[in-house]
Amino acid sequence: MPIYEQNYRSYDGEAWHHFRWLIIVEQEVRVLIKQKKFLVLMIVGLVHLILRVLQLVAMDIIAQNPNHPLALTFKQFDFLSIDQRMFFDFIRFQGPLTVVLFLLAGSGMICNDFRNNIMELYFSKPISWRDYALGKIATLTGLGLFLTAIPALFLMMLHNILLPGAATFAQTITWVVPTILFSLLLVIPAALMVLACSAVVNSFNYAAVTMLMIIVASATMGTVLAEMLRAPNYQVISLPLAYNRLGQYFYGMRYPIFELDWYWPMSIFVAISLISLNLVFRKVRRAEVAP
Amino acid sequence: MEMKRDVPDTSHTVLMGGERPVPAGMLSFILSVTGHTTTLILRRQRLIFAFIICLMPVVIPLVISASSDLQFGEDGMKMFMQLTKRVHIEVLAPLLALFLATMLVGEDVETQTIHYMLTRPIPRTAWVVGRFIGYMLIAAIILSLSLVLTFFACVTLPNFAIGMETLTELARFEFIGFLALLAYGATTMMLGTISKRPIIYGIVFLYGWQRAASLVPGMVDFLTIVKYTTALIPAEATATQAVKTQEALLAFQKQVYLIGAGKAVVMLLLITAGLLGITIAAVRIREYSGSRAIG
Amino acid sequence: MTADSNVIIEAHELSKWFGEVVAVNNLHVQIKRGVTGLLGPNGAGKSTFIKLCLGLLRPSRGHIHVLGSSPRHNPAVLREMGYCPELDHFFDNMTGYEFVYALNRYWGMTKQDAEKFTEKACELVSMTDRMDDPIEEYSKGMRQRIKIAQALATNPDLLFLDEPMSGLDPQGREEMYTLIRRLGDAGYGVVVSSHILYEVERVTDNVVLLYNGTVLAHGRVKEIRDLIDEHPHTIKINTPEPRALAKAFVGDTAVMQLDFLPGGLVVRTKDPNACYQILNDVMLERRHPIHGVQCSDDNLQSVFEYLVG
Repeated sequence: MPIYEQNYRSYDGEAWHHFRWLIIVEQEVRVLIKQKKFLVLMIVGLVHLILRVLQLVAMDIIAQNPNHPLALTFKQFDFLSIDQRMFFDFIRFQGPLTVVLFLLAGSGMICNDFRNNIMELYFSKPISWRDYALGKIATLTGLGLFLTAIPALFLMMLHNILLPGAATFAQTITWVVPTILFSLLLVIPAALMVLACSAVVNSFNYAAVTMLMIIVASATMGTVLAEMLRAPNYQVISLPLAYNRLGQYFYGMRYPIFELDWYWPMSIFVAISLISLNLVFRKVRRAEVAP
Repeated sequence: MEMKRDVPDTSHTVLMGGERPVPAGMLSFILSVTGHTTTLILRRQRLIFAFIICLMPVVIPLVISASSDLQFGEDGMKMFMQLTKRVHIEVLAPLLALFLATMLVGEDVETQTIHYMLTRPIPRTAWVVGRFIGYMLIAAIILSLSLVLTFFACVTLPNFAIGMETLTELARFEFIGFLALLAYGATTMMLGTISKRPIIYGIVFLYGWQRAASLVPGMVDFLTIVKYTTALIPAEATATQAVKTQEALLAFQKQVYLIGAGKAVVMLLLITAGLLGITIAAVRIREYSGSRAIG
Repeated sequence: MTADSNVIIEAHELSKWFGEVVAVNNLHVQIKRGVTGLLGPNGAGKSTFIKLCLGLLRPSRGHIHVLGSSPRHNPAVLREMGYCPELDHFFDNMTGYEFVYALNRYWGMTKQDAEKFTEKACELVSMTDRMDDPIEEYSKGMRQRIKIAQALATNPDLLFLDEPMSGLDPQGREEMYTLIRRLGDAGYGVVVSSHILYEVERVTDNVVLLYNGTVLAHGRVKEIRDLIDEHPHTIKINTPEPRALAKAFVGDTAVMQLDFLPGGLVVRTKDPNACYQILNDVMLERRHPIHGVQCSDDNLQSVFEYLVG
């Protein structure tokens, strides 16, 4: 009988619950919250939220009070107005922070497990490669939404509390779906991309720099091509600009940065997500010895 | 108090054939480290990825020349200058530094191979300098090749032909690219030596600080590398950027302090030397006892 | 400081702490040429002590001299030392030969010397046949041998082998024991660290016992054992008639305690020679059959347990 070398024995017992990927999430979060840099980035994200809360207070309370000495002043500033642009900008400005957070939290998520032989420990427990991959993706997605959609929805709720009324509610309800979509469009491709880099490259630092190179190279190529060829549509190559264009579409904003239809930039993000997902699955699956 | 040592007993050397090797000088140490570093970098598959990214600017002139509509009215010289300034000097040089230099010391700490090196009688200065030269060799070849290929791609456009004037421009940009690689490489190498997450700090410096400093009034931008590399670039290549900066600043009036090309070169060399000095000092002071350095 | 040329490592009031963790605590020790076992449980301070010897760490207090000088930033001392780390860490994408060669170049050898000494070192650890294969394809034992080769390749005076037997199979261990003994016989100063006492016994009886960062005992195992007067020696006798044999020992002043085991007898004594004399008499008179005698206290494990208390 041939004996194949197996460095661990796959778990062949019964699965004890259906959300085993949550164990991976719990483990990752536990590791992350011990990192000072991670907490600093989360606090930086909170600072932006606080500024937006102040904006809401200024426009929903002070500007609504005609007797307040600052009311007229605040009303004069267009950029302070509470509209879909505010939420578009909020998520857009959280974008770089989210990417940096992903580079910090996600670049080592898979390669460190490979390097430290932790994969074997995971797969000798009732955790499959799907649970493992899903857990990692869910961790980053959750973190990303914690910086984008969740605070944005909180701001909408606060807006309704500070300026109650049917008109406010009717207005904000139309922003919910674009906000969630715009956030997911940032979070999911970025999370998958950083995990794919972590799966392919064996060092977390190189995984981070690889992802950064892809983003910077696409942004440079897009803007330089658009400018030199005097064709703004080439900006779709730039991942940040393609993302902004989709945000403008979701929120129904005027004056888009380029005229290409929404499905062009969308197809880029879908392609990136699928390629990244494929890379992650292939790499993680290979680490699991078939029972 | 030093203990007095008798003449070492070398009778055991018979196991190794009775001979003892003779140690070499400082230059030999540096060359050994350089050779080893280039071997390590060249054998990594991810270098291909960096090389492909660096071929990016070559595509643009080729696309333009392939399309007769687009080619109309294009100025090859202007395009070459803008491409080299905006892509090679401002994007590729820092990216290559981040990709190749950040982990020159950090990787040995991460993989704990540093113990092999630091238990050799090699001066730590030679080790750091040798590693840096190894990086410079590879990065300079990649950037230089990309510049040369971009140059030849631009030849396909009007108003650009191989001649004394254009070759001088190529040489000038090669020189600026080299200086940029020096300064950015020394910066990222230093970050990789003192931090466990150098990429994050590198991004903050290259894409956060350098951009923010250029928008702040006063002389804050003198604390960036891009200030000095830009000072070396001819005015034709910076024309577009000047308009953009004005737009970005809105009505915010910023007093721009200029710096001459000569001083910019000196500053870039000083930045390189200073940061290499810090790296050497950090490697000397730090104690490498585990996967994370103590110090 | 002593001027004894046989002393290769001398630590005086040596302490090393990392934050609030004291790894080495006021350590005084002199290690002489030959094979010395550095013993202690995990966390005893063995690796920290070796790294202090290698100059990788700076003492927090006190000082350490290796081959007569402080080792930190001292090329003259580093030139005479070789180090085989505990864990397997290698440069990426390299063969065993390239690994040893690169480190020889780091040592400062010329290309010709580096090649020559790499080949010799690989030969010494029986790796010549496989030295051109990638390290990724090596077995644990081969990795261990190539690590020793890089330490030996510079032909040093003093070798530090940190847990050299860890992860090796029985055959690999035997080969390693033989190699270390051979190095010791050839006159190398060899410091072997281990937390497995049996392993060290196989290569030397000269040990430094570390516990909680301090030296618990230093010297020959037997000498250490003799110093522990308050602890009785234990002699285990295999016999089918333990109770009958016990009568021979009862009443002798040297015997402190007798314990019965299935198929044997354990004698605890402060004077083992007296007990061995009784055993001799019993055997000569063929009063009771004796199948075996073990003085289990000479085992390092016992010594260590006694000392830790």
